Amino acid sequence: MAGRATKDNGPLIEVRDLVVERGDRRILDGVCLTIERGQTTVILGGSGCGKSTLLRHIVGLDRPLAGQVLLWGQDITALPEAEVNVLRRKMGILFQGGALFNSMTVGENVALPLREHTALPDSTIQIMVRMKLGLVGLGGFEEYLPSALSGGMRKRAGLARALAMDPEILFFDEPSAGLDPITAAGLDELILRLRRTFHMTIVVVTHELPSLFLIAEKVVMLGKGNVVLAGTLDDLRASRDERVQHFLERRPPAEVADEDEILRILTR
Amino acid sequence: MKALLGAIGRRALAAREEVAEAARLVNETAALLRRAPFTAKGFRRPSTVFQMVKVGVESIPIAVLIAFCVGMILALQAATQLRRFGATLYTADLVGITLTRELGPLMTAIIIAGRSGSAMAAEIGTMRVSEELDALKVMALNPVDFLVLPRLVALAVMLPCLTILADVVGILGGLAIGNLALDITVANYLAQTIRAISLKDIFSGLVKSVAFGVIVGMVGCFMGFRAEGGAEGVGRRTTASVVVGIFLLIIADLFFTALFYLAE
Repeated sequence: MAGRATKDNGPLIEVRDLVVERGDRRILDGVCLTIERGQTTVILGGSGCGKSTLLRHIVGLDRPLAGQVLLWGQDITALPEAEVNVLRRKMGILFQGGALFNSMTVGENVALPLREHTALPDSTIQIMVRMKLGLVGLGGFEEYLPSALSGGMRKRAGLARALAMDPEILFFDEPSAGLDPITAAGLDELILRLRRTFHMTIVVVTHELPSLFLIAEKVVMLGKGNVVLAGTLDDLRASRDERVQHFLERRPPAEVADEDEILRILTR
Repeated sequence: MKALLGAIGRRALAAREEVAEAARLVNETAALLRRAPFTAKGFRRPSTVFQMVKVGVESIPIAVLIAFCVGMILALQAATQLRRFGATLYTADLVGITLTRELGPLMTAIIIAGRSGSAMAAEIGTMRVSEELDALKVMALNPVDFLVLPRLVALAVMLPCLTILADVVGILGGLAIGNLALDITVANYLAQTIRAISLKDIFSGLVKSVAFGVIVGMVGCFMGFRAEGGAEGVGRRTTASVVVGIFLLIIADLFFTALFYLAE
């Protein structure tokens, strides 16, 4: 097959004609995108545009109705779970609330991937846990339970856990959700530092404009299940598409009232 | 009429979906159990031991208390009837046999379903709702392996232990009534109990308790995995885990009782 990606060439992630339905609603309608190695891509869009769904399909949590998702050149929609798991060890994901395991301390959370996937002795794992927590600015918080942390700290801990296995790709699902502007900016700075230091491939799903302008090298904007725009920040700013302009100017679209629709709602 | 049929149809389809998912979970659990002795992680001893303490050791107070009360209730009820025949000594027989065969395993399992089955459903349900299960999957960990197996093994091991304890304490409850209300000496009561209980009674009770442990574990974990829709969904599934769990326990009890005693 032409364009078979190997470790050194070809895009790291490729999404081809992804179609996702939930019930009778089509959430993603033939979405295509590529993510190159070392790039920071921001997947942008309003609420309900399908960006979190897209992320879930890229990491293999859900299977699509049609289309392919290629990671490192392999189509994970056609692979059994065990083989997808092999690829997952090279990825790290920060979920919206951090998704820390509440019955374990922060240190145990970060140590979990290391304990499960490596045969390293406990002392080594402890050192690595301390390193990762130091990296995200949570040094010394190993013994804390997630419930004792603030929202921002929980996300940092989740990030430390995502970084535990030194992944090649990092995914962020709405990293600024629920954070005040200062904490959100701190998280963005952390992302930039990670990129500079480790040259990671980073994919961020967000709808926050400040984060977008700070960290994006490439932008993919989704609107109602379709890719509205895929390009650089300059492409985004220069776009004449009114959906893009509405999004950037924080202007909601003019509601076109359908008389029949209103009648139906009033008489239901 | 059409609406009623439609409603029945929808419920039936939803129920079919539930049963299919439950079967899938049982299948996955069985496959993992078979493989567990040969994989690197094995049975996750720390996690399993932790669950055994939670399910078994921490349930001892309430299981013992209830068993004692049930023993007393049985003795009281038996005595009022047996007194008519001047056969109050046979209270010991009745209490011993009923406890070891039926009430020891069943009552203990019901208590554990209410206590631990619901806890498992709530814990796993909350994990599902807060994306922790997704986090496990993307860390290349199998939630069934990580969560269900330790709990299942803990229940299958601890429930027989609790049942033995419940049997003993229940007999002591009967002894208390026998000695204090029926003027049966302690030695007489215990001797009569030992005469009445057969090894088969104890054995059938213990076999039941292992099966009950598996049922409580699978129902609790399954309901947790199926929770959706935030706190309300978790609450609904937690309730269901107890209700469905107890229902299945009694069905299983019927099955085992027929298996062991229909031929007699």
